[in-house]
Amino acid sequence: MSHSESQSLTYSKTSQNGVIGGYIRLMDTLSVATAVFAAVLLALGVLAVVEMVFVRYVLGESTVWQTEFTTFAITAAMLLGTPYVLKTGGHVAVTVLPDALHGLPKRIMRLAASLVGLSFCLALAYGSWYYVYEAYSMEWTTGTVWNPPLWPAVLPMAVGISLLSLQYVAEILRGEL
Amino acid sequence: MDPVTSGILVVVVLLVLMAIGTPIAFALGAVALGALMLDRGVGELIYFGETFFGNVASFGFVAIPMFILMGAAVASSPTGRDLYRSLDLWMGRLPGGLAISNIAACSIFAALSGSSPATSAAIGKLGIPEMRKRGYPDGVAAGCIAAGGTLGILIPPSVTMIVYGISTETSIGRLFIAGAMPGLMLAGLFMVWTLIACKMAGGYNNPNPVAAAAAQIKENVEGNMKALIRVLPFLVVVCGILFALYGGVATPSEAAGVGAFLCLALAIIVYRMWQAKPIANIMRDALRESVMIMLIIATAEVFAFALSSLFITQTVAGAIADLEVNRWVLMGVINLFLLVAGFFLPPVAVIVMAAPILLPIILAANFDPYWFAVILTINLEIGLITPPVGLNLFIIKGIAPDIALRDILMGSLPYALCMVLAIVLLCFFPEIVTWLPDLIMAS
Amino acid sequence: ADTTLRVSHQFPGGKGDVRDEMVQLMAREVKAADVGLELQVYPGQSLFKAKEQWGALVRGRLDMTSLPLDYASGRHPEFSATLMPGLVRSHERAQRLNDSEFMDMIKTIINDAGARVLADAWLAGGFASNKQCVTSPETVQGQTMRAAGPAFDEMLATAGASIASMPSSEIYTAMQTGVLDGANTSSGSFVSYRIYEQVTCLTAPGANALWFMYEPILISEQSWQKLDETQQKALMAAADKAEAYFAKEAAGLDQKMADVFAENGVEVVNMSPENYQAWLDIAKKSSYKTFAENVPNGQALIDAALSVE
Ligand code: NA
Ligand code: NA
Repeated sequence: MSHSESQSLTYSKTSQNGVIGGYIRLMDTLSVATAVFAAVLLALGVLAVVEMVFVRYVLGESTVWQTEFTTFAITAAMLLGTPYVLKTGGHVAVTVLPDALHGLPKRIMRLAASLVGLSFCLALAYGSWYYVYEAYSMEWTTGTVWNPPLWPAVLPMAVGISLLSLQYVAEILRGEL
Repeated sequence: MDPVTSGILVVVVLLVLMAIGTPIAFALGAVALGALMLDRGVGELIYFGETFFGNVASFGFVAIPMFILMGAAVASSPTGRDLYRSLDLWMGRLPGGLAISNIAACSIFAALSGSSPATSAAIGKLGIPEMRKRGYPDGVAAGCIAAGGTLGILIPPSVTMIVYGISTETSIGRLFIAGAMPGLMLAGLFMVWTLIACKMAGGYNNPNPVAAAAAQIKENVEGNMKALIRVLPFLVVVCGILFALYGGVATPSEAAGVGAFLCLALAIIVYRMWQAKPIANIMRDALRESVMIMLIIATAEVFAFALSSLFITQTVAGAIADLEVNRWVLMGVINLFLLVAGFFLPPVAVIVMAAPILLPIILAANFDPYWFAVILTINLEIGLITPPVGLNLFIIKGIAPDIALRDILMGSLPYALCMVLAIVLLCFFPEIVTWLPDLIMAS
Repeated sequence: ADTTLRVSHQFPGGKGDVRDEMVQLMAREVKAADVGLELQVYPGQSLFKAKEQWGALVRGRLDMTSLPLDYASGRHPEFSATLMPGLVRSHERAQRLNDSEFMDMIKTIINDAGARVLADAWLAGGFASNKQCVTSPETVQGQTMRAAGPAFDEMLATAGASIASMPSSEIYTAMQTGVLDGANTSSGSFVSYRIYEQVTCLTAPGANALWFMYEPILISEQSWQKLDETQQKALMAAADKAEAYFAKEAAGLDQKMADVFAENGVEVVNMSPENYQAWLDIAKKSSYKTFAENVPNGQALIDAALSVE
């Protein structure tokens, strides 16, 4: 959303040197790269629907994998896109109160909010990896006609939310320095 | 802990987390996880990934990013500019015409896009500077775009109607049509108010010499006609897609996928956007908005799961059902609740959490679920232009950072009252909602 | 203190759905037994989504559920046998199947996974079409069908039908418009989705029902172990009543579907024994074969089921 584009400008001026600056730049690059991959997945999901519509309505043949593929591809795109959206300030927040404050109270409030967000992301990342591990080691499938293994559908969530957590750390560092 | 106490606790903690500036999606998710772990034990943490994935990975929900992509293909290509220019040609010279044509542009764009912020952004980027240049008061310029943009979720297609349809197991096609007439009515009300506001502010247009204006028209007519012709294919595609959906020829996800594909293809062909950059811009805009919305939907789903798990949902629904008040009093209370919820939360979050609680009550009180969807949507549209969380207000602030927030709010407030008026009108004349779906989908 | 068990299912609550009624009956019985045990029912996916219930159950996150067992076939492919064409045929045979070696094998898997069966329930279902009555396999040629699970999909495709996969909530719209010509689901769902408004012919289960689905009431092993002996006994007694109630209702459910469809001007037919046999021959070449090849122990399961009188 465009309300945050100005925010990303203020971020870019903090080009720190040293390890922390390097970490922030690395995360920024990773998040952009993941977003590009997410965009490709979104496009693939759309193409699969188009293919399904063509096969079902024009050729009149049966469709097996498209519904599931689209669901997993687009869900993956949404979760892999989260770090980029965090980096560019796109996750909507109510900033009336912190904006009204100054100095230390403002910094504390911002940090507290970030830590809440980070805790959620870390918890979800942990749960996601556990789910990937279970799905992989127990060879779960999706139980449909197509019946692909489940873990590749869950893996993007684990990767996306892990990167989101790392990006959150980068945002906290960027805000504090 | 009994459900009432835990319910109050959950709401208070959520409000505190949101007030200190935690992004809404993370605040919802953190409260949900905390509540689940307190109630069910640490085990919930291990299974949180499974819970989350199960709530987000559905073929119904994936229609949303695809509808957003369809809108982005229009908004991030020169289509928005062309649409705006051609409307300006037809209406720009009427008294107050520019503001009116901005609302008309919002309505048309709302039919191309499923989201309100996207509608505000697409039309506002051109409309707000233009209106200010021609001497419209800042409040009117900001207000009519903020409010006009909210039509994005009422005039079909609509992201929030998809979420409502999934949450309540109602027909998304029928929900879409149900929003069309009320959307046009609301657009009409917005236009009436805009005229009044302009008059009260002491005039509509910059006193451009008539001759200069005429010369400008002649010069622009040709270009504007071409602009109109370039927009037409998009409108044709989107109308075709929506008719396929209303006719039930395609499911919402199919309609959205094909619509996104065709609009993207049109953007490339009509505007000769062969280079990677403009296409990348479309994908980036679509990704940013859909990720934001889908993450809120996902965490709101998990939040709703936590509420149900703590038996809060069932307790609240039971308490309301036991009220045994007049059905219109009930409707009034529900409206008030939705209005307040809309102040704080984005529309999709309110729908995910409230619709499953409210629908049984609505049905028991003999209200039409499609009519209620429209009432709910207009309530949430009000929330889009009121603080503290007003997605459209953020958009306006981004487009015109120099307009004071006070002016934006004061300019938007009368439009919010127009929406309240629309709700009242729909309560007296529910046919405005039901007539078109009955006509099209009668069987 | 009282123990409260959370019971989840996907069916409409309080609207007379037989699966909801089973659970509600158990809740009343257990309460009347006064053993400090209470069932809290979450109908219509108001707690867990339909397909998440199994995972939650075996981990003890959910205490009880009324579940179409095939929903867990992604984790236990053997469960596909409980939604396999022609494996059951009639309600009487379903009763005999409950006490067979076949169900012992299925229940062993359920137990090993961390759950146990409280009450058995087999639901019959049929076919509906707005193109042509579905009787012999030839009748589905050229029709676009939506089946309920992979085994049926495969059999129909082999018979020459075109398969469209979609969530059950989209059947009505898809039929309305010709995306689907026919559909295949349980008697209860045919009525509650009002499919009779969209079709010209219904193939009711009758004596030769191709479509049967196992939807038992399950309890998590962890939850079971936490109950004391009197509570376990009360719960089992309630489950027996629910099972008996269901057995009585099940056939009535099919009759109700046939009545509702007939009232709405839909032609109602049954499959003849020859039709049934022809379908079974196709199923053996397609779904049974795939099942036997892909599921360890698959052939043994099919043989055990078919050997029941
Ligand atoms: Na719209
Ligand atoms: Na608001």
